[in-house]
Amino acid sequence: MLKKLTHNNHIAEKVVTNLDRLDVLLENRNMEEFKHAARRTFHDYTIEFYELIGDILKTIGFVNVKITREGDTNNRMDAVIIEAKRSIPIEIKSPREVEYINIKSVRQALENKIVLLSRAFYPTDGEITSLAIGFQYPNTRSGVFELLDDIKKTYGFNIGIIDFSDLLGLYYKSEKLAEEIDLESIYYLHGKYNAKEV
Amino acid sequence: MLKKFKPLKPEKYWALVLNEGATPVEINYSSSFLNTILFENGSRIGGGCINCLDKPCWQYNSHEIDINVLSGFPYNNDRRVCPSDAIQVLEEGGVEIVAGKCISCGICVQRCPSGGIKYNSEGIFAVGVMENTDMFTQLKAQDSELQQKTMSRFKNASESVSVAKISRVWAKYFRDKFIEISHTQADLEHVLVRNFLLNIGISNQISAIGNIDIRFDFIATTGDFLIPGESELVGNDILGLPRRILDDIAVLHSRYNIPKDSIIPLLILFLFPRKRSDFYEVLTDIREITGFEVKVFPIHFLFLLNLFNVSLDSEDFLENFIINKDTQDYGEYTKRYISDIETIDDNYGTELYTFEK
Repeated sequence: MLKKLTHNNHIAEKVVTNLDRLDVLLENRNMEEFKHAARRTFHDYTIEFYELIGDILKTIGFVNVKITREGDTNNRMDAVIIEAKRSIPIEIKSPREVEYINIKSVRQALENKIVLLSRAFYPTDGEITSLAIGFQYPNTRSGVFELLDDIKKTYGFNIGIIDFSDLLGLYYKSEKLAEEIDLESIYYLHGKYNAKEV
Repeated sequence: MLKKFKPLKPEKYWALVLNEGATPVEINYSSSFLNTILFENGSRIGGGCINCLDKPCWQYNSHEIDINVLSGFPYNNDRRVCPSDAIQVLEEGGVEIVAGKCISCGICVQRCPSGGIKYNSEGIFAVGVMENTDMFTQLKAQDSELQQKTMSRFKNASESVSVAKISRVWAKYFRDKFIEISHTQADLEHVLVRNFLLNIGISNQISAIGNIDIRFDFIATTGDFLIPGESELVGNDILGLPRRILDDIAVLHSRYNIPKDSIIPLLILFLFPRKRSDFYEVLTDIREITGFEVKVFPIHFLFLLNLFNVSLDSEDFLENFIINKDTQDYGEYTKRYISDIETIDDNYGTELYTFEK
């Protein structure tokens, strides 16, 4: 269950206790309460949040997810889904940094894409998304959605944004409902993840 | 012996107009505390304030600021020439520079038609008093026609620049004072950038304070090109600059249908970032993947162009100012405009020109 996400030894005991509570919610198959509790639990964490995102992505089907260590300025992205041909750079914004995915997150996701294509740390191509994952989706007046379209039109890149709640929903579907997640919709994601899916 | 004009009693108006037959042919701007005016008859006098009607050292004209670079861009329309607002117009006529506010950028110097603002021994600029009564008549009341004629005659004169040395002290004073005043003046950075660019012949507008919709710091134009720009003179987010300029390019192309090959992205910074900062590599990545060659101006370069009265055009932009992982030395670019800069500038080779070694 969720406890297995806590492979990072630095996670505080209080969080582990909360994860136990989340386990119960997961057992009861109450997705909304589960998401709500998880959001509350991880609201004040940064490194744990990054680790958690990595583990959720693994759980829903991405086999090799690497979280970039702090201070690694050469490898610009916060995390990367590593694949033979379709690696995905990921920009993560913890709720302690910003509550909402914002313009800065999208700019960084664009830069991640450019850097990965240029330096070829991991194989990818121009069609594959660059993800910005944060605690909440931006509001419609933030300018984020316009910028996503500007980037697509100018550079041809897909920048996808997924919030914590939707990721938790995917985790719930995968772990509790044993449903297969449609990863293809993430590989080529542009804009907001389709919340109806979760 | 030269006799200095003394402004009339403080409550009375004064201005200087050129006498008939006194034709200035060259204004020499000097970093040695004295600008001079050469007249057609061969005489040369020290420059000073003539109390112009429109005070070009104090404010830009509306046609220089209220231009249409990009439709709908909410721009800062403050017309002040001095970024730190150190130039004060005096009630009785003339201007003065408030010493404690002068950042020593030199922007006002090139705006004065009569060589009236000079670098002084305190390391800042000051307004000089005109010498030689033979060339001028002192008015006691405003005479628009005579004053405009004097302005025109000064504008017809050529300009030359004599700079003996740009000391490290001068450059340090400029930076330190700029940083000090930037704490209390929100638009100091943007106005400094705008005015430097205007003085070197690049029309531009800076973002209005509080504008978050169209996020350029400035948008400039030269020839058939648009120059979206970002500056980072005070903060530490140098690595944010490439991301911000990518955003600007996307907005210009996507929302305004500006062709990609008409866009010259420009970054302005104070000091070159450290070699290991990744800044240079990212600019190379951007070129490799998007095809955009991001240009970079250190503010010291703008300071020099302004000081030496150099103008740039679109050809200059197309051929120069590339900084990336293969090129981090601005000395070569600077030499193309100021050939002996290496000997003039004590700062040559420092982080004003390249990354700290």
